[in-house]
Amino acid sequence: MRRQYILLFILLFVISAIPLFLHEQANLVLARNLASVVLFPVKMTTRFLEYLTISNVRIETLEIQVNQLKLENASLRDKLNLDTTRLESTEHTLLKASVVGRDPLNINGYLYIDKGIEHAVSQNQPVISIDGFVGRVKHAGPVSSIVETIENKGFAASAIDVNTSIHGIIRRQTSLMFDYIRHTDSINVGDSILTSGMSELFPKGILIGTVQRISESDDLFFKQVHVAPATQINRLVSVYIILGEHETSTSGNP
Amino acid sequence: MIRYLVYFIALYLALPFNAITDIVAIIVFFIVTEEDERFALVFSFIAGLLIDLYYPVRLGINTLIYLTVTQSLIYLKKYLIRNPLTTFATFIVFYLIKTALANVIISSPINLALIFCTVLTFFPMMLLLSKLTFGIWMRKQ
Repeated sequence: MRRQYILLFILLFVISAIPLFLHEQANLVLARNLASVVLFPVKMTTRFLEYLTISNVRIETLEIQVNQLKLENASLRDKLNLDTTRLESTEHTLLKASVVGRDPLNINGYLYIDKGIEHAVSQNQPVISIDGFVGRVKHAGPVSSIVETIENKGFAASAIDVNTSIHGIIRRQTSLMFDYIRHTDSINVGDSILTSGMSELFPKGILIGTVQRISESDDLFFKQVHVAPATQINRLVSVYIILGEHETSTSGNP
Repeated sequence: MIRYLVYFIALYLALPFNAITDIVAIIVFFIVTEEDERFALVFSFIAGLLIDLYYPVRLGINTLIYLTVTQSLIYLKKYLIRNPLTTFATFIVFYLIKTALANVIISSPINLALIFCTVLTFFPMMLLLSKLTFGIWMRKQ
């Protein structure tokens, strides 16, 4: 029994010592080959843990992306809801129409929409978009209409500077101008220009644009106020036609 | 038989963490004090071989060190009384000789943090191994 033990010790000792007498390269090759067999469970476990770590990182990245997309989605939903609310809370009945044609060069500033007399559209009804003022119905056909936009030369509407309450006329010349503003009137770049409601055509408070530039002119009385339109006409896909005002329930003697 | 399986599983589990705490040395010490001499010798050989392969310096160094230190401990075991203090002191001597041999042969600086962590882990590991293999926290003589 004791002899067996001594033999075992000698055997293991010799086996341990042999690699030390091998050439360094042979020692390395032997170690590499032995490691691939003996350390297989450790390597498998390590790889599995690495895989789990990488998966975890990937899951975290995807979670961040999902959260960002959720936020973006929520933001877009909010935006849609806000727009709808704004349209629903208005005092007017709105009819949504799709833009089915346009002047490609935008020389005349006309839009063609898919709603007409059959949908209660009539001439001179105001047309707006989510961004603001668009124009008016120039001609109403049975199932389609032509909209004259603020891009059309000669188009004019009564407007007001919301900050200073200065009234003027918005019209298209070389660019969109806020006309009849006297040199003494205080008006600033960035002011919002809204429809004033003075004309019977357009209701009050629709955003037309913002003051982009004020330039000196030779005109004796008025200065030139350039306005950047709120709506980009050439990007419009759909518009809303203001059919008429809602009937209010507050009126009424019996 | 299941005990032996537990030892090998513990050895493989401890191997990646051996650079932080020398759990392999504790397992070898436990087996030398608790198990059959021949198994202790074979196990120390395998433990040394695994360390040589996992932390490669030169194949055979740790195997020889473990084999030699284990054989010395097996020889001394019958002269030692079994109580916690003696066990702890024996382990300290065993571990320091093993570390000193390894550091002298490899010419590497002594890692005091590793020694400190190993000494701290010694009793909890011994208790855990004893509970896992024999169902009791500590065997007494």
